[in-house]
Amino acid sequence: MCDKREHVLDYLYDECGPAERPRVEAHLAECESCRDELRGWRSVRTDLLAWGVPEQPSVWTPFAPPRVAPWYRQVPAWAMAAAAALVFAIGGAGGVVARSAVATLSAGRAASPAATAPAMTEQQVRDIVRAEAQAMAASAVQPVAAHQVDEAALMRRVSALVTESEARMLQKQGAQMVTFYQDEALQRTRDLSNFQTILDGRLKSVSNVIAADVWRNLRTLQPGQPDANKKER
Amino acid sequence: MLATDEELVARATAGDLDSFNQLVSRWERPIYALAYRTLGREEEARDVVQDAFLRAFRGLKGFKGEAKFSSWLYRITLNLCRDWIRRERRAPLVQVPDGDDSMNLAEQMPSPDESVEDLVARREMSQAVALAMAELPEEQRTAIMLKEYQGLTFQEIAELLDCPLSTVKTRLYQGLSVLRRRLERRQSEEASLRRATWESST
Repeated sequence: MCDKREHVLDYLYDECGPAERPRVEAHLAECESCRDELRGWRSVRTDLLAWGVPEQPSVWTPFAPPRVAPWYRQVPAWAMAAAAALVFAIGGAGGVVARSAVATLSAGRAASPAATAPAMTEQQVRDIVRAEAQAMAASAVQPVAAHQVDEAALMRRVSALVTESEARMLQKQGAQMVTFYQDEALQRTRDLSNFQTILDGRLKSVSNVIAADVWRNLRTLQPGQPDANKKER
Repeated sequence: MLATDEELVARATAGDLDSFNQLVSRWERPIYALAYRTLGREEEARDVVQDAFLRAFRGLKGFKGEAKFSSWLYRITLNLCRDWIRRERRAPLVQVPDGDDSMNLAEQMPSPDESVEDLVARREMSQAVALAMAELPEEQRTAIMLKEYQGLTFQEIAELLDCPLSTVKTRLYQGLSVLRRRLERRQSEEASLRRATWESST
């Protein structure tokens, strides 16, 4: 067995370097055993080509591309929290503005004697008037004495408003009571009428029965007519 | 320009699934061929291929690129094949191709240049090679498959099998020498049979 087998194998698979190749060829020219080995291996390599592999469909199910997340999932959590806080703040501010507008409108209605606004408590009216006074004081620079005079006038106006409000309340309650009693009386009249009708019907039928009995008895007591009871007996 | 394996591996490691799909489509056929020739069973070879790519995908982060991606895949595949053989306690099988009658062969002819006789001879040779390979020791069979069918260099095979270069060459020339003897014996037996058949017919 030749010890140059590995070199011949390199030569067979074309893995020997350019310097080694001529040396292997020179050895093959001299060594019968290696020439025979090389011939046999080449023949085997040709035979090995016959061993095919059956065709197969792919066994791999390709990974699906990642789904694109909707825009609201791409927004970071802090941005969504900030947006929510902003909406909350805008809503709160809107509520404050609306409440002050309603308060102003209510105060305007309360100042008018012909107003038909719902009745307010004394404290509410006081608050509205005080707010108006503060607004006026803020808008106009006035001396301290004049401000005190206005305060007294406002207090009188408050008393008048409270009196009006109470009177309106009493009037409204009185009207409600009247309506209630009217409805009650009407219903009672209807009930009595129905009751009378029923009683009349009953009385009429009872009187008819009584009249029929009286008439039958009278006929039995007339002379010349045989007594039915006696006949049976 | 076609991306290299290293580029695709880098992209797949970064989360690009399509790059891994490209790697699979590039290497599925060679991996299946290795598994099929090692096990000799189509169904089991398909399972091994699927499992090998799944393992490769899971292990991408641990693949440092010290070896070629293909060598790494071959190593995973061979390990899976060894596991299967050990688990099932079964030797590589030599499957007889379906449809050996002449009508089916005529339908399966790959090219008009090849006659039915050539096709039959090729199939018989394929079966003879598969049988001879199945009888080889596992180390010699693996070395021959990686060299002849997967086209790896001696150095790559040595790294893949984690053994010295000289060991790879020894396994290879020993295996080739055994194959040579067996295939030559088969050819001489067939020649004797044909001669006997011809003499009996005349």
